[in-house]
Amino acid sequence: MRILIVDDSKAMRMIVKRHVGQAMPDAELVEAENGAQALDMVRADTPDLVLCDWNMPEMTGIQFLRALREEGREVPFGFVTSETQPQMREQAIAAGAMFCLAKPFTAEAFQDILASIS
Amino acid sequence: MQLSENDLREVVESVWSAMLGLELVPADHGYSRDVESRNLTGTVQITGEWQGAVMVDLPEKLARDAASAMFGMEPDELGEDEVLDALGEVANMIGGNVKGLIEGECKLSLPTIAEGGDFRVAVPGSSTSVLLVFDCEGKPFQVKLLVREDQAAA
Repeated sequence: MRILIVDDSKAMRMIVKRHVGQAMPDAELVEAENGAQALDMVRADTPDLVLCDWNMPEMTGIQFLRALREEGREVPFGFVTSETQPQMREQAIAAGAMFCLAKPFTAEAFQDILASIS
Repeated sequence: MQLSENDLREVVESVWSAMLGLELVPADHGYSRDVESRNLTGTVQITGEWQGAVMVDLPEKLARDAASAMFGMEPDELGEDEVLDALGEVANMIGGNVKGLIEGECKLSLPTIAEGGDFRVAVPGSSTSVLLVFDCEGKPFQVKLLVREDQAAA
């Protein structure tokens, strides 16, 4: 399984990588710093899952998700974000996200999300 | 709308425990910088129907401890950019969760970091609504919630 982790914070990418690595030791993990970079990466080689932050420079997570869907790319997509307002979650689901995991999250919450989609 | 001390305390404690795995305790003293050492302030602003900011003031040593926990590396192995990145993410998580407690359409800014010995970060037109001081591994830090003055009484 190939997972694209998108976050402008290197610290957060490290945390997400650590959690994914524990749950899926065989997963191949690739990283992008913003939506624009991630969009190019998906166009070049579609991953099996995208785990994406919301607020990022260049292109936000929701812009990235909408761009993917407009291009007909149905790659499974989940937000890992500190954005916890219900209307943000509704926007995310309406745009085609499978889930929104709120930061900060516990190791258990992260494992549960991954277990539910694998 | 007014966020309480308890609201902000719960957000800060959850960030510290879930993401950093560090223990913190409420301090029974104020926060003052050791101006002979390096200090950092991480800020995110919330704009929209509610306007304000979240500021995290801490000594660089504590920011390095937090970054060490996030990167899974020893504090002295971390570069400057990694310490700033980690503090930015801490401010972003606190700000995002504060925004989650607010009703109405709002936007969260990207984080900014100020650093130095003796300095002040101001958001003109705003005042401190909640101020919390904590101790983490013997190092003090403070978290401030600022509210635009034209809506502080709303």
